[in-house]
Amino acid sequence: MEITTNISEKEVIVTLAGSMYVEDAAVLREKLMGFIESGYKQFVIKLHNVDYIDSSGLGVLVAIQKKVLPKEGHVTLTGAKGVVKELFELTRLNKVFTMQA
Amino acid sequence: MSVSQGIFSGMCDYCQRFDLFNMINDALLLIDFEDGKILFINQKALALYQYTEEEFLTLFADDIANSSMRTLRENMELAKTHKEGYIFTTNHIKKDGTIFKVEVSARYMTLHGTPVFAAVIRNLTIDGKMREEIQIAGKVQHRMLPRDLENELFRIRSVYQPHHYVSGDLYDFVYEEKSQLLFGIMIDVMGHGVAAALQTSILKYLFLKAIKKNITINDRLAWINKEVMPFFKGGQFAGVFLFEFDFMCNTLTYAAGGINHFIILKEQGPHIIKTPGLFLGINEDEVYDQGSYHFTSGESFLFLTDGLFERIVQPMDHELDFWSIHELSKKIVNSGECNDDASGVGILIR
Repeated sequence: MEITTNISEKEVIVTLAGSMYVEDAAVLREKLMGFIESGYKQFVIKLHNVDYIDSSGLGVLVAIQKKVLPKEGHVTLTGAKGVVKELFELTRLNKVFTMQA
Repeated sequence: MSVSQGIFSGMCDYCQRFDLFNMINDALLLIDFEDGKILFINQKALALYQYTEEEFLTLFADDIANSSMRTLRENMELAKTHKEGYIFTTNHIKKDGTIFKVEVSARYMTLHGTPVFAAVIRNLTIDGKMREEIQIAGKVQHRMLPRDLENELFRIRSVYQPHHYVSGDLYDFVYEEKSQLLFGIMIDVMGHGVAAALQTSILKYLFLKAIKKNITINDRLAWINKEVMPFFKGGQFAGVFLFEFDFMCNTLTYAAGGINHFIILKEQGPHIIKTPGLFLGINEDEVYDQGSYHFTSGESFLFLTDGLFERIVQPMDHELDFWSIHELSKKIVNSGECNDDASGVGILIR
């Protein structure tokens, strides 16, 4: 999985591409936790080019959400489609995150 | 001037970096590569081996290594040939004669023209004890699992395999003969390790309390979710699936919270049932749905955690029956290919 990050006005924009499995989730977690420790709390995660995400990937997103919410932070997921979108709907995580097209 | 004096004399800017070595949390030794004399030790090394600095600087490598000179020399030569460093385990000796196991991360380098064997020493004694404790914890966790049941109404077969000794997966089932009700729970706590294993125990305990409540299965799941919230701080959560087989009216009812699939093996083949529901530990006031299915004799049901589900349905062979899936599941979990905890409960209706 490819993970690219850039910062735009205190917002961390994370673009993911490919499939996210256990190892990729661990890498993503390390990257995002690094941003949180540096004080960032607004995240936009772009899922347009993600074709699969397993439970460990969902776990990372939920963990980040739980970390930033108490600090009045926010995680927005954009572009989820197909199997990934279905997964968020099935697990009702589409109610937990702000989801955008 | 001796070699060691040569290295440390003058305390040039380069050498003053040795002050940083006392900030390292492991023992560090610099050893003359030619004669094995100990040239430098940091504070952690003094504490570990129990010598004073003056005593240490009179010692040679084979004074602290509990191995033959030949083995010691071989390891030093290997560190020389491995440009990116060489790691090995061995036994060392403290001043009081205690022998203890260590991991040595070694590198050959040249300091002020002197060939040096630089070694970071990690005491494995504590690691070994912790590993032993975790292995014991894993066995305790395994003993918490119910034995497979079999009677005139159903047969249960299960599989269970932690990724590393202790598991974030657990399952439980309870059969009440008087009411002919079979209650069950599948648990998949996110993460591995001791914390996840403890959280599975909490969920098991809450399940056993919940089935005594005269409420619907989805309300039981909501109650468990509410009760478990204090134990899931800091980004943790759990996937749970509750099921209840009523053999008086041949109905399965279920509620999903993050484990959102199960499989029915019918005569026509396997059917994957998807059922929505949020993980536990995220929203304290979550309301869950309830599903139901009228079962018949010969059908079987597979409740699997992620680690096993993803491997079984990739894709699913329509020829598989209850017994062959059980064998396949055992093969998968024993293959070592699963990179997650894996567990499953299969129920065959007789």
